[in-house]
Amino acid sequence: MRQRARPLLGTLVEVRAQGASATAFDVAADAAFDAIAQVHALMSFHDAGSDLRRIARARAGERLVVHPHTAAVLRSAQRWARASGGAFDAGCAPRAVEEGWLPAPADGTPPGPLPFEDALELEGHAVQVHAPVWLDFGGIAKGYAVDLAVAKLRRAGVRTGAVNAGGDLRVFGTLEETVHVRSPFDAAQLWPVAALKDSACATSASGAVARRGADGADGPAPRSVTVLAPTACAADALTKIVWQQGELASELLRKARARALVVRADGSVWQS
Amino acid sequence: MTSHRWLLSPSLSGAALLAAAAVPASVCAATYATADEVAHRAFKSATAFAEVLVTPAPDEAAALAVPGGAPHGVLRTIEARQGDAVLGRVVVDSVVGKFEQIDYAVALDAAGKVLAVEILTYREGHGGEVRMASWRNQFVGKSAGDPIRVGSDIANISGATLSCTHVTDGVHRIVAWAARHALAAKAA
Repeated sequence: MRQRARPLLGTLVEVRAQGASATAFDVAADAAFDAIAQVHALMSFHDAGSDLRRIARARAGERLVVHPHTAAVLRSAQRWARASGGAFDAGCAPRAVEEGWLPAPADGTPPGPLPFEDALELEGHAVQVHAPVWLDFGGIAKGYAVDLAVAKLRRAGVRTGAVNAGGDLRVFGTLEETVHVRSPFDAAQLWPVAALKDSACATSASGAVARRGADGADGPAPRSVTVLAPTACAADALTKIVWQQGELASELLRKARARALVVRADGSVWQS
Repeated sequence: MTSHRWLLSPSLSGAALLAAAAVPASVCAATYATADEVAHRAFKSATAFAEVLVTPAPDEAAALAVPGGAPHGVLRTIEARQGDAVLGRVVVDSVVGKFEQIDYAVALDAAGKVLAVEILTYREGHGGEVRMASWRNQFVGKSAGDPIRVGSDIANISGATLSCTHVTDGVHRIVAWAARHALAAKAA
């Protein structure tokens, strides 16, 4: 197994491959890292030149052409928002700014109350802005970047391998791998929770997410939500939905061929 | 064909059972590259590489150190050369986070521009911060068919709390240091 890692997406991104020559792996890994860096640059809320900040500056009635990757993530985010009745909310940047997790963009147009999935309309790679929106793709872009990196590795001839971006991970090919989740009660402990083959996994653990999700939660608040799904993008988005909805997300998980493991603050566990 | 399954049966699952099967995070370690490999990747047209150890002056060592951390003793660099022209260099550094120690390398061209940042090694738990309880628990809940040695890789950790903030800070300090120590255009 060959492996390389770079600091990207605010975390450590690891790329692995089995059966590739050193030279072939280097070329493939470079392509995968470049793709992840591109997603990061396009969808960073910190970078004033990013597509996300261009959208945040747009006024009602404006039409912007964005990068195909940005359009793809927005399309996916809107689908998850509609499928979850708004539990998946990529228009949450104003709240993140209010809480101090994101810097307030000095050049932003103040966002309105319209949900992001209705405020923005996609036509191909063009975004029709019906009302100003501040997008935060924190709940989905990392998963998308992992899927994209896997596609780049495959295109470069890697048949079996894995990409892990700080816990949003996908394995492909013939490997079956065990996934460990850090205990939400003791960071020095790792729980072996699942076996993956040609599949993806994402975990949201308490911290920023707990503060967001705790309000209005039914019963004990979750401390850790892990989702297994066919793609990292779906796994990433579904952790946020399951965090909000718990067992109510069962039908959506089933339709997405995904499964969830929820560890709650009282130590109880639910898995689908 | 996509397949995934939980390792605990639904009827038995619970945080206590998960904890019983837990392995200490401190067994998590990975080696990704050597500084030489990073140098060869970053400077493909180089014909020679030379290791250059730099001892920063006390004020520079303090500027290179993580806030609150120990100042650097010797800085390991690798110069990439093509004939007698110097193409750039790779600087090796190490940062300590809340749980992890990360060794990484920064490749800079002759003008001091960052070409690549690559992780060399990663390991969880460092020095006295490895908790004794987790070391004692390392054999709990494991079957003979699933041996986990201390130091073996646990590659797939989901929901890892690690952040690369320290690496990013370290890269900034190295870039600032490199700007004050421009490379000679010709090798000595």
